[in-house]
Amino acid sequence: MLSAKELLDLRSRKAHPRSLPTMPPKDFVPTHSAEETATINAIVEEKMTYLKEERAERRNLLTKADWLPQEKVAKIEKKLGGGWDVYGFDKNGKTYLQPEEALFLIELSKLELWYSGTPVSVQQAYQILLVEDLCSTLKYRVYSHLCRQGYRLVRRLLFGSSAAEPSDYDCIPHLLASASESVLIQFSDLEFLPESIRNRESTYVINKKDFLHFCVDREEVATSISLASTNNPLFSGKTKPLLLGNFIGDPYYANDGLYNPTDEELNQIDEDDLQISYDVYSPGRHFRKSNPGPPCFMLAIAEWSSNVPSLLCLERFKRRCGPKTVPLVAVSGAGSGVSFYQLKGVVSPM
Amino acid sequence: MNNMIELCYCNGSVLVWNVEDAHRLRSEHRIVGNFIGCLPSLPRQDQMLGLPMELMTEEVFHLVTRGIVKIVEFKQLYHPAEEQHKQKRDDMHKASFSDQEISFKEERIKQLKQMADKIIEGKRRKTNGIVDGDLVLQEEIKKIPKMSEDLMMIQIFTRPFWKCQGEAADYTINQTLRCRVFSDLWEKGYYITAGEKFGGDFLVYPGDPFKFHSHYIAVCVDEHQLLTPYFLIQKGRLGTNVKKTVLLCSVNDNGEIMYQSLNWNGK
Repeated sequence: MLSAKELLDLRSRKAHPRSLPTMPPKDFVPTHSAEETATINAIVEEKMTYLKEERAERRNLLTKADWLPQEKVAKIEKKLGGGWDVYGFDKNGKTYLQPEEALFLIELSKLELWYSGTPVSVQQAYQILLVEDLCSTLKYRVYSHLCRQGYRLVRRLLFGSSAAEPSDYDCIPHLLASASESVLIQFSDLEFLPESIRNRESTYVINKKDFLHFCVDREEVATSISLASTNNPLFSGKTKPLLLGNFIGDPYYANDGLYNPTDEELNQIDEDDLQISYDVYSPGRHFRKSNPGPPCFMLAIAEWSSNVPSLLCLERFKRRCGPKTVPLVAVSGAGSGVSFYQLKGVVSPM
Repeated sequence: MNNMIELCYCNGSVLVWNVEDAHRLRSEHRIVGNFIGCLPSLPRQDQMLGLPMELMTEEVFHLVTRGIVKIVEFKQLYHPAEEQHKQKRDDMHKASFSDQEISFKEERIKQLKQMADKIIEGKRRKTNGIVDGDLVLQEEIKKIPKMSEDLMMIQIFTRPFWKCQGEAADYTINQTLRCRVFSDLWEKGYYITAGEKFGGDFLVYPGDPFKFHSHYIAVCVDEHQLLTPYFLIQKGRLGTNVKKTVLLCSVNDNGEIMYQSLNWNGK
């Protein structure tokens, strides 16, 4: 419990926080000398002084939010301080926070979370917000690790609408609208094609299923897309693109690629599947809640003790990500921090 | 044993919320743990994290079996605070505000006193006569406005401000090979942290990890596990690349922990 004097000292220190302690270079073999022991004790003591510090913020910079246990979100009363164009999700004129977001903002001293008429301590917040079905400790470790570095993480709802928005696939509507399973495209006038491919095939067969792997609800995509709604400049000229992204031309997907799972395999939903937890957007001022655009990464979170995902599982994950997003897996555990891995297809030079 | 450190069981993790306890675990018991929260004064960086400190399963097992800690759960924190605590909080909030108002005023008075000469001089020039210094100062002091509520500093408590009693948690850890190896290495005087980032089970240090590099990457293998050449090369190369010795750890039929180091001679 901080006294008034301590609080006011904190306020004046906030403008110029002291920097982290500088660590002396590490040695390889201990000498156990008195001097060495004293040095180590001094380092530990100094670190402890940082750890002992309590959080406090000015009333007009500290936003209040109420924890709603049934809805499992925090509702913000009034937004104070800056940065609210990137935090939370808006609904009916109010801003709400997911549990992990609320906890992170508490740790940043931006938020005071109230639970049934009184504010909660950080310890209590960890206890009520990181419950398994809300957001586990494992997920929070990864979430806060990335947020501290400025990344924006948006929860990916299962079977949700986050990334595969119709606007990404402006060029496919006429294909999806047709009832048939594939479309035959014949170029009668080769002058419309770019010079580099004019002496290639003039007839192409495009299979409808190749475009629908990343959306679970196919009907929803097919009916909501209309050619008229697109404002992609590529459609305003004589030549219109057939396909977006690197599905055709990406060597990993080419017919002579090393790994070609069958459709049944790809459409299966396995228990082992990597669940995409978050869409990750890079740090920077360009992020807007209302229109975030395609994320940089789609993040799945796993434990160190889990099995390495199968190639099929990774393939499904990659296809769900779409062309502009990189699939990323974060691994963490008690005691070990966070590590990341991703698998990319490459073309063998042979 | 009233001096037992309380470890807090929370959503599947075992956490330390008290800095003094974290300090004791490190200095008296050579248990390093892993801080996972944002540091209050510098939250947006990853070099140094703050409370809570999370412990590995093996660290918890080690401490529990030696009677150094007890694992508790604060079940009351899952529910809203009791009426008496809410009232106490409101009282504290009001008291803090009046204290801050007083401190604010004292600070302003101090500033005025420092500038007293200039103020008196200014008044003297205006009135062109004799000025009572004390009176001028008193007038200025009366003019000090009340501290605005907006400027009040509100504390975000790390732990509940009332003394929370924890109940013994229903949390048991089965002794695994990793637990046994951890305790054995600890007995030998090492500091031990998680080794997953290095492809092993533990990183083993000859002294405090703040000051020393680790010497070994401990990899626990079941005594009857068939070690393929592939496995040995994998671990051998790993050690060489990071300049640490890989230690294969297992338990023999007599229950003794056996260690085998790998030395990679190839290029």
